[in-house]
Amino acid sequence: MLDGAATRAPSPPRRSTVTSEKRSRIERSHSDVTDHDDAAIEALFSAGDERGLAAAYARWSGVVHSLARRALGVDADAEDVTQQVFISAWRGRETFDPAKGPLGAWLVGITRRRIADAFEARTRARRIEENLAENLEQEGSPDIAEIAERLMIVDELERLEPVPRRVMALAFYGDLTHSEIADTTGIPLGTVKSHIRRSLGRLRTRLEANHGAP
Amino acid sequence: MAHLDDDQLTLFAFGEADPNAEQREHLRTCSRCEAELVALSRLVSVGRSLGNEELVQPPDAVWRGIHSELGLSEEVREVPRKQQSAPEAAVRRDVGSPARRGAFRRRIPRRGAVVGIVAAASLVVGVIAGVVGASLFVRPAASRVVAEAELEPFPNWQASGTARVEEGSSGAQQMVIDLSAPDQGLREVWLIDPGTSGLISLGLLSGASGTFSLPDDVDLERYSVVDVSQEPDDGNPAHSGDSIVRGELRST
Repeated sequence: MLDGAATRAPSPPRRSTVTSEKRSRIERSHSDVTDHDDAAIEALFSAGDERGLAAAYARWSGVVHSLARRALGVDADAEDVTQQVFISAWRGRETFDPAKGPLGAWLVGITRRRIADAFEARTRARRIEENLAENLEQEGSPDIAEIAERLMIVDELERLEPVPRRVMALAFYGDLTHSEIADTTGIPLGTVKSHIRRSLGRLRTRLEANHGAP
Repeated sequence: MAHLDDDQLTLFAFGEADPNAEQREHLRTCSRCEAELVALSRLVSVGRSLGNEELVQPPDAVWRGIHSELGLSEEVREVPRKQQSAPEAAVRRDVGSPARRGAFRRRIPRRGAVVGIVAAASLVVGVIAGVVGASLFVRPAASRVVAEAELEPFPNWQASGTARVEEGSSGAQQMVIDLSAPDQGLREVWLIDPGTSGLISLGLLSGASGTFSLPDDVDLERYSVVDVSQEPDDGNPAHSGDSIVRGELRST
């Protein structure tokens, strides 16, 4: 069989049977996403449980690393940044406040700061090398905030349950109207609309700006 | 007037509807609704412009560096992996092509094309295949189980199941599925290649269990994940996206 990590089947139900039955009855149509996973990661992380750091790494290292790669263009630098982000996140975990925003956005905030540091280091190195500051402005930094936003959207879309994910893929990448999506998928228009409304609302909350990252 | 609700704002953000005069006036004067609409519109515009964003996982050395720098415990030594989610990863590229509706259909891997097409040809064929499969393949006494999978439910489902690959004395293999799920609608059994999200349909599951013959050229090393989906009766041969259970085959 293939490498287990990449091919893992859905993990066993994370809730107790009673809870999932209740959830299934009450909010079946709302369980588009697995928000409880993120909440559990945040709780472990905040509590100083190393498994919370490991889970946060599993969950967000892709976004962090992709952002660093896009911004810095050099894999080795990106790897350094990714490593530094999780190290400083763990050391500064007391400053993470779930009330101010989700952990993913907090980590992305740290990533942006580490990227800025890396740019600054490059600039310093160049200044020393050339003893000139004339090229500094040219390099500029790519619009990190925008790249971060796009990567977060991609990541969140990948985490939607299959049906809403399919609907959102058609709405975004396929550029289909809501009725075209209903026609294409056979999903009733009202359901399409509610998937889109909920998924968009979720994106909105997951991307919320966050303050106070270390 | 009252604030605009999420439904209305979403429709405006997607350009599916335009605010009427009263709503426009409200948006002009209500900073809350206006800010919400601006934020949602921006999301839609960024979402629609996504193209080449790929998430790249860092190499394992990054975690090892973190682990050693922070002096973490043995318990978290293994590199934490992202959970593989449903096979819709392929959807994004597929919907990008001009033939939108057709393009949405998932690629059926070449190797499994025959199986896929036969099962896809019509629901009737699928049902027959399932029934024939179930009745003709009376398990020979000499068959042995070569791989099996525990099938775990998706969050929307109260379900469980098992998949077994049995090999007869002739070397022919068959997949035996047992599913426990609320009894309703059409169920289809799939093999998934987790590397490419490629799908092979094995046919429709009739009732709680079924046996499906596995052609020799289906590579279970590659198509290592078994999935049972709920399918609408719409004649669309693609996976509905509504998976009930899924599990990875392991050699026994």
